[in-house]
Amino acid sequence: MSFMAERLITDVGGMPAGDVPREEVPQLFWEKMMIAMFNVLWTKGIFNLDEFRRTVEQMTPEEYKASTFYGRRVDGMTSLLIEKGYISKEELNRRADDIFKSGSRDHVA
Amino acid sequence: MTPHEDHDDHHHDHHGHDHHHHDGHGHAPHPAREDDDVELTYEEARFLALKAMLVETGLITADEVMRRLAVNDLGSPHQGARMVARAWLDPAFKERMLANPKAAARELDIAVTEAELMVIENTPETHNLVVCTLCSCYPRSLLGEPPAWYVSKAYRSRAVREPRKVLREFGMDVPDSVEVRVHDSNADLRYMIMPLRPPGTEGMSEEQLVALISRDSLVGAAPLSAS
Repeated sequence: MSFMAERLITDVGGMPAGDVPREEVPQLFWEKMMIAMFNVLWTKGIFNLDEFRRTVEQMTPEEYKASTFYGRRVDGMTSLLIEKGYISKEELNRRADDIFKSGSRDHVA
Repeated sequence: MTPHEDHDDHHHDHHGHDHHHHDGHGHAPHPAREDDDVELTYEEARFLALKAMLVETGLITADEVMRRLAVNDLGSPHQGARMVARAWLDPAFKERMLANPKAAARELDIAVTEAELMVIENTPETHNLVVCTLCSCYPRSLLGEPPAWYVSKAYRSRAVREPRKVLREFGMDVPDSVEVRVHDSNADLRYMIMPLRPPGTEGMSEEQLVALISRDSLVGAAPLSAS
């Protein structure tokens, strides 16, 4: 077994890195709502934390690097819901496109 | 990871969705709405679509999400500060808090939603620092959302290798005579630090003490002083 082999992309402890960013970043309202929805789904047993973790660990290093904190949460939750058959990927993409094009948060449940 | 677990890093580097560029989007007609001054990103649009679909299928209700949001909003560094101030003043409470933090939190009407919680006491000989190297596990019920520095890859990487250097950058010089211990959190076990009570606070009320205790000191990343 080779030294340092098979390191997960999330396993950054001890790796070289630069300055720690100190800027305070306020949480946006949709991010709070998204975390709350994640908690509701998790509490209802729709998925568990290990499954969510797996979606993140499956990302390629490039995807992980380009991803954001809340983006990973949305993507992971979405792929689990598609995988489990609760929603269709095509419909989600279509509706997300529509909402994005409208530029409006109105008329959304 | 948390019930609120979390994976991750930079809060808001919203790049990576450039395939959906979009100009000239109109603002919603109700400017009073929260975050209406923030442009709708594709990430948010995807979340809004997802939520609408889950509500339509009956898997969740919008009300359940709002109720959970209200519960999550109760988590803030103020709660952790209340625990620590009480522990400084009441040795019996301190013993209970160190032995069973969730039960001690309940005494102060704080509900802890995380799996397991541990409170670690700083001493004149030992300084403690918390990190989550794999993601961003954090005792949210007691401290709220983790700060951006805590979830940054730089902090997760360096806190375990060069904690004294990181602490110095945070404005905290730990003398060589003091041992530094770093605690790596995970989904099943999260930590809060009980900082040393600063000298010069002897006559202070519990309320005054609460006001002194900063968020970062409860993670072990900032010193405390009497003013």
